[in-house]
Amino acid sequence: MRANVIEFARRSLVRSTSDIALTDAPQGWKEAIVLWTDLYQQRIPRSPLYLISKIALVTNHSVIISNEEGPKGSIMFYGNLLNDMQKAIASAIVDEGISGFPNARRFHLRSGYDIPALSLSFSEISSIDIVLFGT
Amino acid sequence: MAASFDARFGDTRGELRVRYLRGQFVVGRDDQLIRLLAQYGRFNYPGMPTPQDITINQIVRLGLFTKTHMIDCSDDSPLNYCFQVHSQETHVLRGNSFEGRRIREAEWPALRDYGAYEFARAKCAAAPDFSFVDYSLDGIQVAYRRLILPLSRDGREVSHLLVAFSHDKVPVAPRPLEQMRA
Repeated sequence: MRANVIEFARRSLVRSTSDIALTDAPQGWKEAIVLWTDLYQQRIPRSPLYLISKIALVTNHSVIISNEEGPKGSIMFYGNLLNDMQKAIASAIVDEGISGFPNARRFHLRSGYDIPALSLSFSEISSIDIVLFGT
Repeated sequence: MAASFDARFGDTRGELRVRYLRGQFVVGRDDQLIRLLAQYGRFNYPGMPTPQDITINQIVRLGLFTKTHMIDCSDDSPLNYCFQVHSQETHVLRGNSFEGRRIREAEWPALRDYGAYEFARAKCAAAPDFSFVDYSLDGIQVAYRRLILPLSRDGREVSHLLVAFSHDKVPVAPRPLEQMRA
């Protein structure tokens, strides 16, 4: 299944940019970045369940990626509004690796649509990384 | 110290005071704002950067994501300036976010006067503005250093203001402990 979504992403994506204007940030992203900042500034370890529940409050368009199983981790899609393209993009982001600061990018599709995505690494304080999509 | 403030806005609930620092950054204390100003200076436009040039990633990496406003100041009346992005750390509307709201909607009259005057002044100057702001409201005291950067949709006229701030290391003590316990 994973290979299929990655192939789907490869065929569907034109390119990705690393820039999304501050004025275009969805509200859910802001709250997620605040959560990330608070946890990293205080360096308080939190359980994956805590983070999942907090992120679930922020947006339905989230992907929770578990890093427990291996170097690239297993991927768990969370959020019932996710479509195949969002799952494919999440897989592509995981394959690149999520680390360091939150990274907001706009993925351009061959169909002409854009999909904004935000990746957040919580792996230092918990065992998960998270990808959020704009609403 | 109070005599050195350049602008004051107040009423019975409290007072807002502003001291214009005219580029007097302090290395160490103002590092985040210095880096933001340096990035701002790297845009090689004929005029000013556009609001779209200021990205989420830049602001997050500077550690200013929760301390930044983006104000649409294209309206002629300063009271109609609108907060497109409002800092996640500042709550002025009964604890709610002020995002999408206009300066005229601020509940505290002194804050309305302050916003209208200071942001109109920054728009008119069309240059980076660095100030120290100190206010007390209902016994709560807050102090911060504020950098305002003008942005322009067309590269000529100022249409937006990016306002970033860093809290001074001034202890915020609403009232003496004895009074808190009473």
